Amino acid sequence: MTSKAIEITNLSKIYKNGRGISNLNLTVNQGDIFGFLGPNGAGKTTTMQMITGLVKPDRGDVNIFGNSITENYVDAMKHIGCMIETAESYPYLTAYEHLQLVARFYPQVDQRRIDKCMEITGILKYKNEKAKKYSVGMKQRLGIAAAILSRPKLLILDEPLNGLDFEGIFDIRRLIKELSMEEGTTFFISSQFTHDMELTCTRIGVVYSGTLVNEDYTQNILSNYPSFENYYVSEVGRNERV
Amino acid sequence: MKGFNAAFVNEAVKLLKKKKMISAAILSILAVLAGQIAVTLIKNDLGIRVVGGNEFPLLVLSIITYTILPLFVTLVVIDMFNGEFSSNTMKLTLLNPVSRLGVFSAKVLNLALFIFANLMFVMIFSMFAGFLFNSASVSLVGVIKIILSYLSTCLPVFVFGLLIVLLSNVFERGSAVFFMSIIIFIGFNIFGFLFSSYSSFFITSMFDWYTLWLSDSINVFKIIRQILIMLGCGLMLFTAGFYLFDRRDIHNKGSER
Repeated sequence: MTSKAIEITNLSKIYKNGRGISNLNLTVNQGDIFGFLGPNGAGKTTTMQMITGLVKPDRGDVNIFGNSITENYVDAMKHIGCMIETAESYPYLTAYEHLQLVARFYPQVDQRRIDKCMEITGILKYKNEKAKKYSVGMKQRLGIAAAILSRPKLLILDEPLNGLDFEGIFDIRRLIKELSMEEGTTFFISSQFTHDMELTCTRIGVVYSGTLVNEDYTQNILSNYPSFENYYVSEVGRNERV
Repeated sequence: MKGFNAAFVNEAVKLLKKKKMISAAILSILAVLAGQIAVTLIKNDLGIRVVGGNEFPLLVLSIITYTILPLFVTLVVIDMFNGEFSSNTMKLTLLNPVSRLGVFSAKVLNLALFIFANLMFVMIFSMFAGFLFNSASVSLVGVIKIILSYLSTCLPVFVFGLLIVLLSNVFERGSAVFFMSIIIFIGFNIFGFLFSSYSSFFITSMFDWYTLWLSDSINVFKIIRQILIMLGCGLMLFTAGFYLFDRRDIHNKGSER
């Protein structure tokens, strides 16, 4: 098995409005907690949508643990758990029924695992409540429960802390670190907030106007710059000048 | 195949959890009851025997295939495709180890299951009502003919459903699909009437093809021809629908592109 969790080659997708992502080359190694940092409209979600096959690229390819997402989708998706763009739910189903839908795709997931994931994400007490009654934060927690249900080797989370209260942010950050340390899970997380990235990720890629501006390890960034904000502003500023 | 099985069961669960199935069942019961009341009133007040126990389910079939059934098929398809696209829940299914062909096939097969279940439900209920009020005219051959009629009606209605599936992948909005379906339904019926020699190609005119199975001298050649036309149309509509479904980029509704 390759040590590369995600290998992105020349990935491009440009929409009619000119936004998108252009010629992205990136490798995320197994065990990384990779942060994809950039402002709104930078191309973070588009990249994640292409990594997970929701959007077809204009050019380029993505390999997940050696399986091409365009040619071998089912095998590539076997090891991925994800939450893209917003956490959605069927309003007429309960949290438990939601997770049962996901569990059917993974034979190893049983009822205990479903309960465990609801407990981890703090929605166990609402398991029999219909999702239409859920707040944004609860839907976010349900989305994360669904993403971790199959014990995936790679978790792709698009702005996972959005809509969460302070306690929720703390819980999810701790969960990410635990999964990374204990199960060796690889993460690919997007955010527009430098603080989230600094506290959560081991490696950061800065994306701006559809281009990957730079990527480096968190440790290196913090030893070379006074703060994450400085690094981010410096990288974005350099790109704007270019 | 595992992915397809899971997607198929999930689609069935979603269909059952929504109120469409219950609404379809209630309206079907009401249609049967209304038909039976009308038949009984005509018989008692005017002394005219409209239909016997064996004919009543066929009368019901001829009414629901042109009213409730296509309506619910359209609504179910809109829910399965446009509904999931607009509520951004389509990605919940697609972000699993299952191909788009698997997801599309699971949805289409659930549509077939819905049509079959609805027709069987109406058949049993109308047979029960027919036998209850006109038990004198019931015969085994009649029962077999009823079962054959209901089973054979599944095919043209399913092909019509595939047409709606195609429309729901062409148009973004469910309301557009709904109105287009009504226009096409009416248009096909008119064209089938005006150009009767080409009526086989207007799928709605096939809704009463079960009469071919009921005549005393069965025209095997015509039945085979009709089956082949329906299968051909179904295959083309399935392929066209899947082509659009497979190419589609899944974005959140309202996100700027």
